[in-house]
Amino acid sequence: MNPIFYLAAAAAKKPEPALGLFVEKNVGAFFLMLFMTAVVWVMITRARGAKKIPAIRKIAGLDAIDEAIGRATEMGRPVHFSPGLGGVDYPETFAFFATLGHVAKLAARYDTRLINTHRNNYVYAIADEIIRQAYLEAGRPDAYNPDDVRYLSPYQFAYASGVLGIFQREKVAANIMIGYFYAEALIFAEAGYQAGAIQVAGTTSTAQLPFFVTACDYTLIGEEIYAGSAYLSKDPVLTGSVVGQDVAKIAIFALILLGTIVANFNNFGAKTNFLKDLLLK
Amino acid sequence: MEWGPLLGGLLTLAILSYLWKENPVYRLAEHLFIAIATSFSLVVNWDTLVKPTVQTDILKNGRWDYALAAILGLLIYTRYFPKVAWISRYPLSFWVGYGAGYVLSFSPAPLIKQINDSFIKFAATDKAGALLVGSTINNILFFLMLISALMYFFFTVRRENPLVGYGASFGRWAIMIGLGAAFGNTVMARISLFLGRLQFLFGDWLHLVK
Repeated sequence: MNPIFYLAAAAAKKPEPALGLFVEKNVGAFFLMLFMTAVVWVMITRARGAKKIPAIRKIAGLDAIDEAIGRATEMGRPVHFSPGLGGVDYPETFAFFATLGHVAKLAARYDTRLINTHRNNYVYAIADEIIRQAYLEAGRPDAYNPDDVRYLSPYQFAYASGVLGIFQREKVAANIMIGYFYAEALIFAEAGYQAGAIQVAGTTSTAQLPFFVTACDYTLIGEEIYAGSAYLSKDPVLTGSVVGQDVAKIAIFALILLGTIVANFNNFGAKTNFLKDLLLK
Repeated sequence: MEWGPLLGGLLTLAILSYLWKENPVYRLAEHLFIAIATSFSLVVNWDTLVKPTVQTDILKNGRWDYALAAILGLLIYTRYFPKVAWISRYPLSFWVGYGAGYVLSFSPAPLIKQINDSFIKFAATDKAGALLVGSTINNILFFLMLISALMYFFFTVRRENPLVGYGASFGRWAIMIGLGAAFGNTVMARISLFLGRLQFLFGDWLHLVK
């Protein structure tokens, strides 16, 4: 066929531009986001107003962070903290930021060195600011050492080789890894073990989690890293946000149960699963 | 004599020497690696990002709005001047806001897809309508593991409730089985990477294997 016919056909089929708030097939996602935001907001408001909200259960991996810093303090050796390779567009990096504040405050209070290494320049700059602030809040601004917040290299294995060197040269007593990790996860975990450090790691990367589970003392699996900031600080507002997320999770759990029931009862006579239609609208 | 494989081989051995202990040879290779990688990244960013943006986009095409982003980026360096260090918080807060917005806007869509795909019918049948036992068991296991793994991540529901307690416990097992499978898979991939390095050492460098 002559290409001109393709062009003519394409021009004829071109849909009329329409103004609207919603992108087709994203309406379900929009309302889900809205629902989750609303639940989190309600829980934070309740927490702020000192109203009762459910308590967060014990998470062993998060308790171990305090234990690891305590051990480093007793040994008089530094703590190493890595956020992995994720940038600021990784949710795991926000979990790292939240935990870093707590870790830095404890390190400042106990006068323990905290070495924080990076491969991402934005994450490095933000982390440096968080640590500086934490030392200030702990009343120890003089103890903050900018040389201990280190940008090593933007390349994965160059960064990994630098971290390995730090483990042995600085004789770290505790190694905390929370963020998004790739192939360097096992390299860090093995080297930390070799250096005799107590290791607490957490990531959502399913490919790297097995290495943390096998080589680290405590592992935070997936979602557990997001509860970190609230759990560690016991701050009611942060706790409210985690409780809000948990309520949303329970709602999704109920939705999955309901959707499966509908699917197994042949959609109750309908042609399609109405929940699917609603979500994919 | 080929210098490339010789240098590559020696540096590989220097890095592997860490398995014995941290030593000056490893330290030399580590510092070389970091220095080369960082300078390479600097040159790449300069040539592919800064230069074309300034020369082509801003000066040639008159996209002066790009200069605003450059100024915002440059403000980060104010952190090295204590009196005006507070200004560096603006670009940082912009980045945190961008990151949080990005995560919030892109996370629900895949979640919706996953929720949808979990609405499965247990009984799997072939075209003639006969029950496929294997696939049916698979579907039931998928459902049980999915909901129990979700239960494991409930932070506010008390585990004293036997349904949640046993469910979360089963979920933990399900997660561990999944991680075990991922472990085996990744170890296989790592062995293949190690073999590639050995091939380089004994083939390209020492010519002991073809």
